[in-house]
Amino acid sequence: MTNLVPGTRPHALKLFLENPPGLIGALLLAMLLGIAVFAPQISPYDPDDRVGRPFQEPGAGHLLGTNDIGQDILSEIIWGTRASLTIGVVAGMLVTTIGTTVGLVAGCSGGTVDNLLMRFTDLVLIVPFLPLMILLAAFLGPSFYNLLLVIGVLMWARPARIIRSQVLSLRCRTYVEAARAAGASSGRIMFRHILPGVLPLALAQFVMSASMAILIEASLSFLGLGDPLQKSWGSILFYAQARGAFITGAWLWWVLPPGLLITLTVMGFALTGFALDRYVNPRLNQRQASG
Amino acid sequence: MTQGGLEMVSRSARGRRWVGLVTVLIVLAGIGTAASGAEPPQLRIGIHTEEGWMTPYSYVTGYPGLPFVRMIYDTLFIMNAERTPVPWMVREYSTSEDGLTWTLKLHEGIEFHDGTPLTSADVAFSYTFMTLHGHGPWQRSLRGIKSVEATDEHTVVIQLERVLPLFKQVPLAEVVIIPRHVWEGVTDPKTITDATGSGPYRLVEYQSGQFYRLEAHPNYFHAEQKPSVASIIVPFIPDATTMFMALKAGEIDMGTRDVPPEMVADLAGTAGLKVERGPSYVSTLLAINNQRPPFNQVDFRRALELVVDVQYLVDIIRLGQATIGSPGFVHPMSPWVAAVPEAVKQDFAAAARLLDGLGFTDRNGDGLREDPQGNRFQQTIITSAERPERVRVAQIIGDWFKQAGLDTVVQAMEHTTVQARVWPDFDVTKGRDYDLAVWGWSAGVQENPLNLWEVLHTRGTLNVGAFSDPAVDAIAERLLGVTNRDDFRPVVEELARTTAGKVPFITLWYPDNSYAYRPEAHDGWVYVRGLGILDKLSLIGPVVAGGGPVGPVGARSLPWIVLAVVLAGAGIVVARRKRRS
Amino acid sequence: MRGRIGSQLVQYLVLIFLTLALNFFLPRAMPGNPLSRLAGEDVALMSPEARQELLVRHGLDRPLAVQFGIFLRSLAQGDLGYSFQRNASVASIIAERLPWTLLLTTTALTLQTLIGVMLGGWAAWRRGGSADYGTMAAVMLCRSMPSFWIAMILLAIFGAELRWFPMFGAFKPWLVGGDSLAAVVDVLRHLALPVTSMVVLGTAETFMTMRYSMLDVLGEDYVRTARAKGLREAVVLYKHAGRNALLPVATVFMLSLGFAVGGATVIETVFAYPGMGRLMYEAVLGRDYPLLQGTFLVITLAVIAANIVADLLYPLVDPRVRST
Repeated sequence: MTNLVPGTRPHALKLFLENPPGLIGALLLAMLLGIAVFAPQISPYDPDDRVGRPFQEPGAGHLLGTNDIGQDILSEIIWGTRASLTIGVVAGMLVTTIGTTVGLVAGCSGGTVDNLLMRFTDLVLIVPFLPLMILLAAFLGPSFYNLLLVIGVLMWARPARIIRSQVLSLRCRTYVEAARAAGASSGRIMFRHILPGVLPLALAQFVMSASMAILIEASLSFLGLGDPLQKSWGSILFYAQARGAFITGAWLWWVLPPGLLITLTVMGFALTGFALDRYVNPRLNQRQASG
Repeated sequence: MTQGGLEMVSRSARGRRWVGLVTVLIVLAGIGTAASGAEPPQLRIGIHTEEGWMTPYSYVTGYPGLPFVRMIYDTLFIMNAERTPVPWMVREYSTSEDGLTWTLKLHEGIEFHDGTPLTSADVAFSYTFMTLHGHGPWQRSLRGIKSVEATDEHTVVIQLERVLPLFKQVPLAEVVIIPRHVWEGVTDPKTITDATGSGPYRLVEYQSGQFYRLEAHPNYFHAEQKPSVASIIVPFIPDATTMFMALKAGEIDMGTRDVPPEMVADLAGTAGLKVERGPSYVSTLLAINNQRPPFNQVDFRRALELVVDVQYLVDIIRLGQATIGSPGFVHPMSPWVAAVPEAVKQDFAAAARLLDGLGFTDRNGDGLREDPQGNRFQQTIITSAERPERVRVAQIIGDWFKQAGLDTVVQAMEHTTVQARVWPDFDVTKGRDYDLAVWGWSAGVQENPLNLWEVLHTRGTLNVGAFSDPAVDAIAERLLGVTNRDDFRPVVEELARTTAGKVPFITLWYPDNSYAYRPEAHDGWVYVRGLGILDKLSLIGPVVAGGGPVGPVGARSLPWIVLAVVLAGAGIVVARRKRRS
Repeated sequence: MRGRIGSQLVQYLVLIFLTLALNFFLPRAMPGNPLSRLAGEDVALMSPEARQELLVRHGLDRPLAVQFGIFLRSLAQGDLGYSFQRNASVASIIAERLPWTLLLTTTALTLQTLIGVMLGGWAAWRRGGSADYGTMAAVMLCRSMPSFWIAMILLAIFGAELRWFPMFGAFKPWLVGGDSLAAVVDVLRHLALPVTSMVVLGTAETFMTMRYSMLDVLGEDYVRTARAKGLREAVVLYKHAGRNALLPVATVFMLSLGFAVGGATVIETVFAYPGMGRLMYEAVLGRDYPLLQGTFLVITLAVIAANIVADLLYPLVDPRVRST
């Protein structure tokens, strides 16, 4: 069946080298990963130590000044990379895995299974996010990882629906029909033929979910529903805006850097996904070759 | 839609679109700017929480809700800027020899907002109604009253069950007078949305989630103290940053939020803004669950107190803009004391001795103390996640406890959850589920010396830490026997002194509150002792500023109209492109 | 056919019941209770009897199952209940907020879908070129920003600094009066910053979906055939590819439309917009059960309606699905 898809997959490394945005994205993520891993070596101070006067402006001792209790903002941001990357990758993987599986099974099975799964998806879509968040935080104990879990468990429904709609349109395509005519089992059809078809979309959903998770954490922090004890970019922004950074001019060094880092991280995911997409979906390369 | 959209490839189309968009923006901005010149003079006070219909039964918070209720409804007496009760609706009053009968004569010509004359019958009705229906402070304020009688149109006679030393303050300056013709026969007062009162301002409009509009009561009874602005708009602005930005930009003239310490200098330096700062009776404390071992041992609590440096907390978290907490809880500026016990100096060695004495020692050399049985010991501080100051307090205090060898975990959770753990159902008899919690009491708790009984007595309704000490109980009970206002002072002072050694909780600070306003719009603000500037006193004076009343807007159909405009616009864009392709 | 519709209907009814149950029990399982909203802040100073009476009056003393029964019965009579904290019927509060919410979210959604579809289709067509990369980078940069962050920055620049647009609320209560054109303009000006924030953040989803599904369609045999036949590029793009690529976009749009009723909590908070998101958030914090149930119910119904429409839409947009 693969011969229906002409063209070969380029080598992954070559693909990145030939694709500037992908390269930039990968470098961005690599850099952020590096910062996360080597946080203890890079950061000038322990982010939990109160090393100076509160609300200091940037200066020699503190490149980005100090926060509301005199912690070094630069060190906070460096350590916050760990938390924020973790949120993105773990929650994104959780969301994509559940979403793709449900969408795939529902779209391929059809009938009762499809119906039940979709109604369940609808239910999850409608579950009030905020109360569940508060409820789980109260039950599980308020912690960063519970937040992550809740984000993951509550966000898979949208990708599932989108994947399913893609599966629905793929199912009618010639090669699937051909495979079915050739007597291939539905499981085989699902994984050999449909899964590759939805992978780009799943990847897009991973990119979206990973970034969404980082952003949701930031938003929850803004509303005061995050974990203010965990040093993430979201919680840094929470303190910054709660303690007047936008009014006093401190936003230049207290609000912009973590916000930009969130933006860059999400961009990193997006650009990398963009490049990867061409790797997992060779038909697109073939099309470019002809076009 | 797609066909139209994809025509974007055409560069000229894209160019036209941008030109169009920019034009729309400029026109919108232009019309708005032109229109803003025509604003009628009104005072705009940004409010940070919504307060229902602002009736005595629907307002939500003691601040900023209650001050607005007090602008709409009047009281028989009023608390002046020094928080001393003085006659208000009452022209003259007399007390019987035994102090049990009060005869109050009302001013002539008091009118409700709807023009109905306010008579002694309304006063008697209000006091009876509020005794029956609990909400806010009303029901409790009226305890100890035997009967309220309207003997003639302007005379009210109140019989007491016992002598009430603070009668002029509570209930006379506290309980608002509601119109009998609105409230008579009402069984569920929460359903009433008619906020007709007799106060200097009347509520003319309320749009959920948007704003309140108040207007001066044209026939306000008082000869000198008239409503000093014609119209007050109270837009609802939940976010603090937005509120202060709007203040700086001149979109509002005052904000109900107190300005956080770090913004005070900036706002005070903004042209056109003034900041009024003063001490507040609000208190921030570390609540201790006195019921749960080892916190039931006074030496353990003392050890905790010894490692908390309240001066440091005030310097770091409040940037010095607070009064250091007294271990006797009573605010040093309280009218009920001359002096209060001083804060304990931080002393890790002394704390270590106390902990060693209790058997809390580090046996396995991990730097943390085990309990007397040798088991691992860990305590938890809970705090409200959405209040950054409190999270910071918990973090810093937690570090000190760890430094003293006590393993401490800080947990931040949603505020209502913290409340449910510390004060389930707001009923101290229902128990509690916490070790330590960052907590706070509103200003009202310091204002009335009888509240000290509620906070410190074993059976007190505000005793969220289940503190129980026979010596403190005995003094607190003497508070209840005081019959003369001036006799409170020695009892309160002794209570504060005795409490200080027992550490029922650790009082951290009483903040200084700062409020920003635009003097150009209104400059009559009065900083009421211990409370702030949002008070009826700030909005009454000898003159009414210009500007006539503006009728209600009635904008119910407005969003639909604009939505139709927007969708029609989008439809036209799509249709035009489709046709062209 | 009728049987299928019947079973669909039953499924949706079951779904509605489940969400009703969830919306009823979930808030009540949250720690804390609505007493402080029922009785005001000084609830502690009430006598235990008065407090009990309050609970009785609001039916909060009954067993949960009984309360649920009562809730369902009054719901069947069209009664959404009475808000604890706002002293108004839930229906009237929602009726007051819903128009503003719809105005805000529908305006944003319409704009972002238009822009997303245009840019997405175009980027896919130019796939691999600098135009594609550039658009993608720009759109992704926009959606990568934290919502309150960009909202605050817009507020700081265009509201506080330049003072082009008002900073809070849905309209200026002191401006709106007899002149209806001025009122409409005022409302539009108040929409400018929140809608811009939402469009900046929201366009990417439509864009990405459109772009990916367009790429997919462009790889299809029939498109290649069409191109091979020498059809003009634009014709291929509009006639053959565009329409088929719209299916996932329609899904995204319909799902978003359902949620539009729920408002945008963060944006509404920053710009003090009187929407449903903020209403729900405050109801959660205040444990205002009736208001929570009411808002949830409205949102649930909207989402379900959007789903039904999306289901009905598939065959119309993509005829190939009709065969299944």
